[in-house]
Amino acid sequence: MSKRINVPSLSTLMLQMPASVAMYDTEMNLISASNNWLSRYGFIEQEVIGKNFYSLFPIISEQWRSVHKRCLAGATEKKENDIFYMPDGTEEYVRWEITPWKQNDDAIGGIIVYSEIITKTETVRLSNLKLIRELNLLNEVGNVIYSTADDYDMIDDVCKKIIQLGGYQLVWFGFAPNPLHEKQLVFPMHKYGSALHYLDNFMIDLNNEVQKNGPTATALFTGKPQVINDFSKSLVFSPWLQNAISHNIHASISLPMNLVDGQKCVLCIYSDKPGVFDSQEIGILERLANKFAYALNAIKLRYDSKVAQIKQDKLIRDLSLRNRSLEDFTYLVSHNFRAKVADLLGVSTLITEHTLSETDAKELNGEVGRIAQKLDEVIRDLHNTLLVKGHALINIDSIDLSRMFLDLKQTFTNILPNTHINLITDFSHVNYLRTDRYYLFEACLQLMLNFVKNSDGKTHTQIKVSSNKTNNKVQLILEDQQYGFKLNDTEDSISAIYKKLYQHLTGGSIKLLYVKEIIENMGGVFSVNSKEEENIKFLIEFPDT
Amino acid sequence: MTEEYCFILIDDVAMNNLLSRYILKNNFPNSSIIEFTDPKLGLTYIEENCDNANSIHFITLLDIYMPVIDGWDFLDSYENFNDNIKKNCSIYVLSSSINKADSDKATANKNVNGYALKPLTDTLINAIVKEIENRKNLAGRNSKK
Repeated sequence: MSKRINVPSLSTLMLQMPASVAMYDTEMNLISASNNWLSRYGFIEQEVIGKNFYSLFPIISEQWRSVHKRCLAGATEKKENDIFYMPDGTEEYVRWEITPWKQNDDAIGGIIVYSEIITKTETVRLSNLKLIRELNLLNEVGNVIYSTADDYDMIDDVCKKIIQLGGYQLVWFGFAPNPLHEKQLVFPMHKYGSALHYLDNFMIDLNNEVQKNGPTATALFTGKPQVINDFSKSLVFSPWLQNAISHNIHASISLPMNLVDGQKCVLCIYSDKPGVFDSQEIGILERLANKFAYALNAIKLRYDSKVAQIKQDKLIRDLSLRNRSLEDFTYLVSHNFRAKVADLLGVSTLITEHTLSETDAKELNGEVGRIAQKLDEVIRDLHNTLLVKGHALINIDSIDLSRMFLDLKQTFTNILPNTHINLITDFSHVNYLRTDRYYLFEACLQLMLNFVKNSDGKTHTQIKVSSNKTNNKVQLILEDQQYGFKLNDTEDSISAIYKKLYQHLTGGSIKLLYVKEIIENMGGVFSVNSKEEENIKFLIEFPDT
Repeated sequence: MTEEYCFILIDDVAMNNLLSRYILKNNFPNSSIIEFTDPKLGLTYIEENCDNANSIHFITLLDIYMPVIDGWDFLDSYENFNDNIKKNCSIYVLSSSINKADSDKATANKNVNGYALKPLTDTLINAIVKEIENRKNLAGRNSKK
């Protein structure tokens, strides 16, 4: 036999409901409410039953009135975590559901409003989500840092990750002057985010009284992160408040970083929400900045080491080139002088120690004069070379090559009136060259004279000259009539040409050295292109300015 | 003694050959002296004449720095000649270069018997010939053993 249960009235049941529940009629008059609901709003049951919702809550938004209307018309509406801003400034998260109740005739008798404050659980949930987001950001930034070898790309990628995963509005990174002193500026070198225009013309003058007290300058000077969680409440930030608000940024953190050589840099992150930089977020971002600084240091050390290696290689290369140049110079001097001195010694020995026929004696006496003349020419060429060596030639001018070679031909004719030159020029690629005209003229003249001397007294000499532009260099190419030969890879081409082709000419080798010195002092390069069965080409190269 | 030698002068500067010729004539009046200003012609002469030289020994005085074919190229070509030619020839580099690298390179070549500085003198050519004779005598004694 079942025990009979006395069913309490609706009002009694409602009062005992373990949730915040209120029941209204179609006019939104309160029919019944739970104790939970009453105590939440500080109401006493007897005082509020029968009262209209809108008189109990006079400040209610139009949005809620619409919800009520829709539910009274039969709809059921709910929200899992609605946020309510309380009069004391706090936030409450509420799960609510509004559903119509029906009378016996199935007609809608009003609505039941169920609500549950879930602020505590929602706060924990949001906090967990935030932590996951921050750890994800930290992890992703770590991935970027360890997978990017170039500091420029790495900084760019870190800035992107901070925005994409951190959910911030804007980020920028900049280097500070080293050491921090007056008249120095800090400005964004890398930036990313949706409020980039906030950084238009943005720079921090560390000498400016106002700017040097701003959060970023303070972070750099103190070496500690500076957080402003609400710009509108910060006196320090007031000079930039209007600009920040107009770009929807409300909070910032400036994270200073120290690099190995004392270089300082800063990472500034901005949020569109006030108060986001709590202690947990600051801690995560500080760890991010430490990782970032570590990676920058590693890259910098790698870079410094590479630069040192490059400098060392260059030094060795320069020294070997200089050594080779000195060897060439020593060779040329010793060979040209020594050859003539050997000739003089030989003739002198014959004349003094041997009995010569009258014809032989006359011939050898003539040789003495010729040797002396050649020696004199060697000394003069050497003197010219030494004059040029090591002196900067700075009278830069725009040279019309066609015109210059016409002048050269005329000069040539004046020097060697009996030698006819067939000068073939092609300056269709480059007709103007910026360098010192006097010395370029001199270098070309010496080369052309060498060509003629080398033609073994032919009365007609053909000289081809052309210009070209390649690999950011302008080339002037002068072709000798002699066939070249295969050059040894380890041998300097000019040196080989001296020794092979021109050393037998009077002062010829010194003249090539003279041309080389002139061109190099003008900032150019003098080289030779020698191939078997092809004419030798002398190349004069200058950077294409 | 003097009839046993033929001197080959290879120098692109004719006057150097002229000076050497005077010295050689004075010291070895009965010897042949062949002059070349083109090393290629000198190589051809050696190839054609030194293989069956009978009792004549060829002494080549070779300059180093010459156009087109220099002394080093000459020695590279000479390396390909047969052993008989090499047995009948001695090569001395006669150069004005006081560069140690040149003398080292020359003396390091197994076909070069010596490096001498220009100009050629009586003392120098007699020392060269004396050195060749000593070498020949030594070779003769070794073959009898």
